[in-house]
Amino acid sequence: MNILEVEHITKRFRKKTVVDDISFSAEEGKVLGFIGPNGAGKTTMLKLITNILIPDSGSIHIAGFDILKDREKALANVAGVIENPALYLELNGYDNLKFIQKMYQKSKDDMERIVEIIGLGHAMRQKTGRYSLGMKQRLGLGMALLADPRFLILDEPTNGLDASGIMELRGLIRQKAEEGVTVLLSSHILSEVDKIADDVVFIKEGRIIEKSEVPPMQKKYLVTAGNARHIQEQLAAMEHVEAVLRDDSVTVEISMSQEVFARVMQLVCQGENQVQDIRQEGTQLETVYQDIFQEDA
Amino acid sequence: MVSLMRIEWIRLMKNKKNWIILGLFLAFVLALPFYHNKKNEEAVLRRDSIYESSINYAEIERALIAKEYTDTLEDFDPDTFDEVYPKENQIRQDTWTRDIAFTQKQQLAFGRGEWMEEAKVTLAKDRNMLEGLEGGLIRERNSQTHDIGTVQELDNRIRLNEYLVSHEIMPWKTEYEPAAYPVLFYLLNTVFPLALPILICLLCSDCFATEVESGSIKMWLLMPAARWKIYAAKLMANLLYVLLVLAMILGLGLAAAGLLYGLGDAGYPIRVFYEDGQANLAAGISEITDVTVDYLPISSVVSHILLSDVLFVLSLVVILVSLGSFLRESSTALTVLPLLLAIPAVLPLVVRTGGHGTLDRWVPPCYGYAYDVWIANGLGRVYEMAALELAAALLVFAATSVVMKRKDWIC
Repeated sequence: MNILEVEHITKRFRKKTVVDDISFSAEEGKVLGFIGPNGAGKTTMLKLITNILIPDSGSIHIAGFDILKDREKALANVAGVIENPALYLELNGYDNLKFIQKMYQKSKDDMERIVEIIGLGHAMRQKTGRYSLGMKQRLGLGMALLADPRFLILDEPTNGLDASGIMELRGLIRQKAEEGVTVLLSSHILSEVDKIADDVVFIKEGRIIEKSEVPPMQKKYLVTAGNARHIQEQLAAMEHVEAVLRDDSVTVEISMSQEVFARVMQLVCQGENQVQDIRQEGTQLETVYQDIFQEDA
Repeated sequence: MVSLMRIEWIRLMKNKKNWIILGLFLAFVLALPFYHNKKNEEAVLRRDSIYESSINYAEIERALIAKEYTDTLEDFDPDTFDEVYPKENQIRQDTWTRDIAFTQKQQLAFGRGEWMEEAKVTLAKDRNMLEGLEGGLIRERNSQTHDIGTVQELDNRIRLNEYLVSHEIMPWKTEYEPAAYPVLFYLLNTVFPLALPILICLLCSDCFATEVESGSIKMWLLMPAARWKIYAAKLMANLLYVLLVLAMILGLGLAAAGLLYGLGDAGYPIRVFYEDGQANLAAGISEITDVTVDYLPISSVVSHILLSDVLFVLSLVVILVSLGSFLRESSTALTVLPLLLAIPAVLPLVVRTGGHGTLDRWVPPCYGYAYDVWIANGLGRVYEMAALELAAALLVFAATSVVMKRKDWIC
């Protein structure tokens, strides 16, 4: 089931068309990457989805509710951080969280649990105006999580986060997806999107790049094994998989599909293959990005 | 809606700026009874010195009249000597002698705090002066320099004091009487036209423009509520806050002055002069020839003005919050909103249609001295104005609610 249905959305500011006839959907429990260069219309699209902006034409449905006609019911399923975390900088972390707690009628325990998740327990009594960008991001994320949404929108969530923060966020997003939450992740860090997203939408000059225009996404793995030749032979017959034998290793390229990936891993990891190491080699998302946005690059 | 209001309420309560403003208001309110007491003491001392100078003045007048007679004797001519003159001269001197005696009695009663005795003597003294003026025995004087005044002034003063004495109302009250009721009256005339509009401007600029500027409005917009409800909830919370501040200011003012000096006299009347059927307050009495005087109890004026001013303030909050929701920067809001507020404040200076001191009928009551506006415009017109303000506020609210539904929030 799709939690988000965007159909033929167009938005103009004066004479400039910022979002041009965009349609896409997000499946429940999946992480959808939203990729495009600066000024492509990503944030505008997110604001249209959350009804901060009103589209000139088209429709947006969240959990089956039209955002324009049934705003309350549609937004009851949504939370997120768009552009920058919406914080009252003169108030402390707890006060900011309290707004969400009151609105969504959450308990204090829920609030404490979120504080633990975002790892800001030591700074919750500080004014958020004194927070670093990363701390603000964490609090913004915490506010979104406290709302306990079915659809989580994150706009450049890794901005300002340190390495451990990024790893924690990655784990959190995947965990939420496993719990059935749909995550719309807009980011310019392609490797991050690549690691987390189940599906990717490319946006360029206010338009979605059709799937047919997108080169097939592939993931490349270097498998070191005692019986590399056997692996190569096993994989040679599989569709969407290309296996190249090197000395004691085999390079496996898999077209983007979790299903194919799972089958490959099952085959490769059989005991007789004597696998010593599996490493991902680079990302194809960057290559695809460059192909699509060649002119901008 | 209630949850949204609670959130806005928390935001208002957590805003230090609002507490600082409230603190300043309350400090002003608490200091007011002491200020009134000081001013009142000065006024009492001034009244004592007025009695002294009144005696001096009367003695000089009497001496001058006596000298006139002496001069006449020096130029004594049996052919032209008017036999009536010495008697007339004596009568004139007697008028001043009586005046001196009355003033001394006033001063004595004043020293003992016997205000009724003092008021009765004042009446007798003024009647003596009026008789002298009407009989051509003494000259008229400008009331600003001497307390004799004109026939008209004396007549008015006698009628006022007769009214006060017959109603057992102390006539010596100043506008700075340090009691609860006059303090409330003073607050109405200072808080409404000056301080409250400033507070409202700050609140209204914070309500949306500052939120848009800082981006915190996105938190509101992501909440599962109709946009008009978000707008209405913020508006209602701000209205409640203004009402609370008002209640605190007026309540604390009343309580502080009441505890220190008592409630005071709510029945103390104010004078209204009518010239050709038109109320005329600011004009000096000497300028008015055909005048009638009414006495209105302040309690009635205050209650009406309070109600109409509160209605005005509420309308003001609705209109300014609504207009402020279309501004994207606090600095713009803090420039535009006070300018809008200044329009009705400046209006009476530009549009003066009713003669001396009569404010234009469409000027909101709180922009003038409450009773001036009430008297000048009449009770009906004050409520006509309040009804117009409320209608404008409802219209702006309805229009903004509709626009909110399709508004792009550029934040």
